[in-house]
Amino acid sequence: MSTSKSLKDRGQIAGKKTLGRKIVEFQKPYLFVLPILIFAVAFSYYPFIRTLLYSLSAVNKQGEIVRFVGLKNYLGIFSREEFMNAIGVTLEFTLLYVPLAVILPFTLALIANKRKLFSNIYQTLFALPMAVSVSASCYIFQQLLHRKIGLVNYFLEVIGVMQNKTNIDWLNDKVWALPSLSVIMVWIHIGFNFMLLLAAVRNVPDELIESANLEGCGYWRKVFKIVIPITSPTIFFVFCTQMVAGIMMNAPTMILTKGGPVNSTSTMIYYVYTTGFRSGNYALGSTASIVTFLLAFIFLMFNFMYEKKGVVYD
Amino acid sequence: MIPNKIIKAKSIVESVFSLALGILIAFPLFYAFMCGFKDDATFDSYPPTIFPKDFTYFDNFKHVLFDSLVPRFMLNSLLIAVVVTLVRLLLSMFAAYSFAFFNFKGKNVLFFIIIGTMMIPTEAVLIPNYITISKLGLLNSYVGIMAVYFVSAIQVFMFRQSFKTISSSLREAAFLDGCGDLQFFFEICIPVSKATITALSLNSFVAVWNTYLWPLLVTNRPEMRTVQVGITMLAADDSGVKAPIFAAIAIILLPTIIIFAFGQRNIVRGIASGSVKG
Repeated sequence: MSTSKSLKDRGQIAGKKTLGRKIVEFQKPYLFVLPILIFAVAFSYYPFIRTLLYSLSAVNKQGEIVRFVGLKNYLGIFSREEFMNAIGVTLEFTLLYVPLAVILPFTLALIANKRKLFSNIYQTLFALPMAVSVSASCYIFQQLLHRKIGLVNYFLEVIGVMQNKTNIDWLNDKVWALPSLSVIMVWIHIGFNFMLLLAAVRNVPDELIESANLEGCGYWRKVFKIVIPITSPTIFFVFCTQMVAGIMMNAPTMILTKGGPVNSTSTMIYYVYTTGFRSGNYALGSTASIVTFLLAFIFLMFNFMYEKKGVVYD
Repeated sequence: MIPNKIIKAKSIVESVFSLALGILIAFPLFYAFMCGFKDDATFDSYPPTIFPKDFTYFDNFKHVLFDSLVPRFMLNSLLIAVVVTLVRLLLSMFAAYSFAFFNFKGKNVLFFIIIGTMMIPTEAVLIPNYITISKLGLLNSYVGIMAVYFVSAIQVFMFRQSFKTISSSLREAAFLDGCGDLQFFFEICIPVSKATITALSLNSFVAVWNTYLWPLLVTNRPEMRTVQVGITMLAADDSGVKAPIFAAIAIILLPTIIIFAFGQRNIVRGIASGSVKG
């Protein structure tokens, strides 16, 4: 009796285990995804929806929604000269920044792709700016671009491009401040983009290059007919990320120009910072955030529409 | 023979030109180190000089290391960058493991939700994130600075690619031998993805070490500042950018540059292996 009972027990326990195991097996894939999902929702999706709601509401200083106001914030923000200026500055910056931010690192990747004397050294030198933070880069360039004691003006004077009397105050000049910031941003991002593009260029199959060589293709023909098409997914990725980086630009403005001179470098995210955090106007700041997001989103959609034409996936 | 010589000469000219270009690109960095050794007079002199008068002028470094909060800022940043990098890797690899090896209901939707975070730039959601962190009482805390950085969609994507190179028959065979998911994860998946892990963790460390806007928003106690925010405070305190700032910049650049000098080729290799079709 006792042995059969214990056998029965064992059978039941084994049965429970398999049921338990089944539940675990079923849940397992979700359990692996769950941790990252919690953070994705808490710090990406939830705040995004919250920003959207704020932009449609009146919000008090504690961040509580007082009442729904529809599109009033949007109508209000587009009649603010400062915000319209910020849109213009952001677009101009993106236009100045993105072409340089893609073409320069791609050229460097082509240069570093050939293995040569010193190639290890200059490959590292090309990538090195990636190690430098935004704030450090900003102070270094502030010094290099200094009106009186900066090396850039001194160099221009030595080679005779510029007279001492007309030294440009790069970061405090209404015309030059924004181009200067875009050059600084290009430098800040050049290292990582260079490495992404170098990895892509290195992945171009040797056979293709060799057969092109046999046909007597010139260097630039090979670049345009083989390398660019094959690396086009990476180029496209860099183009998209840099476009978003351009639209979201804020730190160089915050550190170097505070939006000046005469608001000529006041970008949209800088506007979010000044209205949302400095003045504590959460509704207006959120509205500006959403408009900035939409701008980036529309630009990306355009990119993806034209992606099929220019980007080759195999 | 002559054409060969011409080709060789051309190649040397190209190498020298490339090296010169590399030096030009890295010049701002080199210049910052030089400025750290300058006394105030040399720093403000005209015509400007690249090199300091002598390399034994350590006052700027002494000032930064002993009379400022820079060492504390560095400790804060180091802690934050290391912890965020580890958490990110673990969360991304867990998720990637699930996406690479399991078939389950809602898999595509969940993958899309995680990749979709790339579409929401952190700059666009600053206000509610600030309010969340503030309501949780996490302003001026390490967790408050770190929490928004734990999700990295690109890492999930890259690890999924990397795990997909492991054949499912290998996994089945391992499971028949009594291997469980966690064991398989730690003993097969992680070693296989070493190159990707190295590349992504170096990249992540540098990226987190270098963040500026978010740590600025959620900290206001000086001792909780990260280095990037801290040096801007230094600039504000000393009324303008002076040589000591450059000593501070030189000091805070050291960790990332060391990581770079050693890890740079691994990063390229890691990116390349991650982008292999799978």
